[in-house]
Amino acid sequence: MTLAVRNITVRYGPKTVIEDLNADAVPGALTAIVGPNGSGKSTLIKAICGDLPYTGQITLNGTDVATAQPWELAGLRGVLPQASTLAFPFHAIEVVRIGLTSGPDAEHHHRAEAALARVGLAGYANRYYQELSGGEQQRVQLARVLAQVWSPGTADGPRWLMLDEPVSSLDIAHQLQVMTIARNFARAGGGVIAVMHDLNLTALFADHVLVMAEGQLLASGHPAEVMTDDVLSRAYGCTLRVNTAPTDTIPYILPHCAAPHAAE
Amino acid sequence: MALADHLPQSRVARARILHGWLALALILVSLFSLTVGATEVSLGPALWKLATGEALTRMEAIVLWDIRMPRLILGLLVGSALAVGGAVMQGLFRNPLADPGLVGVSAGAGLGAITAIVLAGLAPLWLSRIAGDQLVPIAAFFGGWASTILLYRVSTRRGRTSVATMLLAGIALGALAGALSGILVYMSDDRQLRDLTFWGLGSLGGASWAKVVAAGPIIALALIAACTLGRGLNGLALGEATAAHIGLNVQRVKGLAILTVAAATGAAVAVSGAIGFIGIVVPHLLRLGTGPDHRPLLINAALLGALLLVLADVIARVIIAPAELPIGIVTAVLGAPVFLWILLRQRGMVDL
Amino acid sequence: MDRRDFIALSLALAATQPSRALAAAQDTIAIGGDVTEIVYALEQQHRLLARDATSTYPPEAQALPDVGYMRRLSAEGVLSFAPSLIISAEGAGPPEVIDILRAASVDYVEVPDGYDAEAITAKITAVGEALDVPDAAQALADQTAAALDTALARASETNGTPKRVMFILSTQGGRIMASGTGTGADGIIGMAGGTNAISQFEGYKPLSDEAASAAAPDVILMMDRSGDHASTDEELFSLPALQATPAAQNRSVVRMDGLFLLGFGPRTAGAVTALNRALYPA
Repeated sequence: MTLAVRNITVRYGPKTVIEDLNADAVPGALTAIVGPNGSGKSTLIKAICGDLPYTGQITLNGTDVATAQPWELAGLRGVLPQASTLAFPFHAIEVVRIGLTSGPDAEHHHRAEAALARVGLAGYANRYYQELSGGEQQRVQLARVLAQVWSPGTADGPRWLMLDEPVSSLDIAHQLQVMTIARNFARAGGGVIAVMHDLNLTALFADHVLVMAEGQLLASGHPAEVMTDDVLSRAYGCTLRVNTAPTDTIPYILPHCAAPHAAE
Repeated sequence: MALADHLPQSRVARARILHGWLALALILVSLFSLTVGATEVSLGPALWKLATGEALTRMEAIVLWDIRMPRLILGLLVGSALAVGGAVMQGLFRNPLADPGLVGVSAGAGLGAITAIVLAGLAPLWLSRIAGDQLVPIAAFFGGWASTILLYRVSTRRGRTSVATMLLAGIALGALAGALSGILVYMSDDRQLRDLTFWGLGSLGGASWAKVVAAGPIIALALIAACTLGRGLNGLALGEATAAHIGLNVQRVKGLAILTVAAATGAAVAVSGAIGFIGIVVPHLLRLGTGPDHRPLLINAALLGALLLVLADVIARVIIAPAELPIGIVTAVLGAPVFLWILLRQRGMVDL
Repeated sequence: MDRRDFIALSLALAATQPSRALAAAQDTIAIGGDVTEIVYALEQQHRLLARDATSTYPPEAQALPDVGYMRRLSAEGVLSFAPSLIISAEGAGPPEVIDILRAASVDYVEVPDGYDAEAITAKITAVGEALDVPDAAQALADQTAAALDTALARASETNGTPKRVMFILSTQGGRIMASGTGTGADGIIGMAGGTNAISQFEGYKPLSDEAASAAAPDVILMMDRSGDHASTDEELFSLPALQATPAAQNRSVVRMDGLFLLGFGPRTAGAVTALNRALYPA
């Protein structure tokens, strides 16, 4: 009951974006994928979600992603895309309910309401989606994904959240809120895969980190093991120092102290 | 608390309630359309005669049964087909301004009809014998269908349809169909030219039981198919990738949507020519009133489309009686200002 | 034609009419400008309930109710007059409406179309039979044929090479819609002693600028009307297509009433003479 990525190669036309990559993720943990722009991290999560053709094999809870029916995968995992568009003037609650594919309307209704409340948008049910701020829209989309995979662990196995840069359009308080929701999902037995841009938030929330560079997996392990000067400097192609305060007087702000449970 | 609990549902619930009101209004308008006309024949007295066992006059029988009834049924079919075709197309393209005319379905159907009118003399004898008077409608349907399939082939790569490519290809296809139609128009003789002009304007004036039989089953199938598309189109509104993520078979939804549009638009255009604005105005008004959820929207679109077209036909029939206006003129006069209003209102809202 | 014969026929015509005319009630709808003209020429206008939009001559006809354009008839609109006879020019429609009218136990008579002397006779005969005034129709047909013979004979006396005439239906958007062969325009041009400048195609078609120049018409013939089809001589001859033609150099354009010119009815002899005089001014 894990995510297993075996010998994955993804090509866009003649360009090889990911080459012969192997990776694993387990439920109960938040797995972050980090790496510089163009390293293939978004491509990897798209392949995991079944959006891209690839060679090799990806299995989720033992189900082959390439051959599974859309509804089978939808029962296993929810996907929060990097950016979402919406064509018609739906209300926030209606967007959340679109994510609910089975069960009676009344149950949908309550779960959708609860999902909105969980992302801090309890009063926003009947607001037009298009009139919300970018961050609010992103949280509505998260609520939609949460409503789809409401229970992290089921008798049939864990469910998964696939988050592609979930906090990129959010302010710092909402970044912490969303990452806490994701981590709580993992604590409750679900699996979380998140493509992350922010290394501090990664260090703060991830249980497992996959560092990618140039379509390959550079390192994999606990944040403390892989987020080292050496690995990060190689991955991002610039000199990075972990746990070192700047020498001059420029103020620097870290989210660590705002997330009281981060230390556990 | 209980009330607040149910508030979020209200738009869909309101849309469901609207089914009933629209159906009721549709029945009333249908009865009204059977009652008024250029002759003094009216539905009430004729029904009374039927009830009392008295024979109808020949005039009553012909006016009610051969003129108004097929015309009403054709109006219901065409109106619902145009509105549902528009709503499905807009859902498919995730653009509230999309219209079957936009992706070349109407142009393809038009090319089919023109081909049939101009080349009818050259058609093999067995074909014209089988098709008879229905040659033009059938050719129009196949024209719309063929252009939809061609469009799908052009814009689909590795089982995925790009909406942008499809839109552009549709414009190109429409231009191509228009150009081929132009060549055929040049080849046509004077008499055929008159038929073409007549066909192009859009009218229910040629309504007959034969046309009802020709278009009815196709439109009925399209309407039934559309009713299964509600959830799929809701998902597509979030984008193709997200639609797949929530468990939809996106390719199947899109394929069925394309077929539905081709069938509804092709059949409607075939029997009544090009009638504009129903396909774009009806879904838009409904989205304003009861929200964009496609499950109730498609049903309401069928009802309101039929209602408005039958009403427009009553206007077309009585306003300059004993002559009549082409219904395309009536829908354009009523629909174009609404369309402009939509454009003005939505300038900031439409993103594709 | 002998003048005395003409008068005799006219008298015979007048004599036969009243009895039949009184016998028949108002029961007929005439569709097509030529048909209506013939009904009036047969002095059967009291039979008419209504007419179509193309029936504009004689002017009295315009007082009758109008059932709309002949190719866009409304079945119920026509039936609302409860006619027992419909006399229609060829090509009325839509076909479904004609089917219903036929089914409604209305006598539906379709008058054949055509663009020569025989066609006119056939039209008059058909209308006369439909109205049950065959003798009057015979007389009118003979009279019309005789007048036409006279007009044709006079037209053929023209000396020199026949003028090349181009009939232009419209010049909308600078595009010239001209008449080829097999049209009323082609027919009347030939009858009036001219030659149709366009013989490469049948019917009315848009003409390219070069084809118009190559056709080299001596005279442009148009319908005399207002609205969007109208164009002044200035506009007409400033079209690139026509600038190089002899017609433009002589500013030679003839405008005539459309129904008079192209109706192919009782007035066609007059139209032949009028067009002939316009083409070959003394």
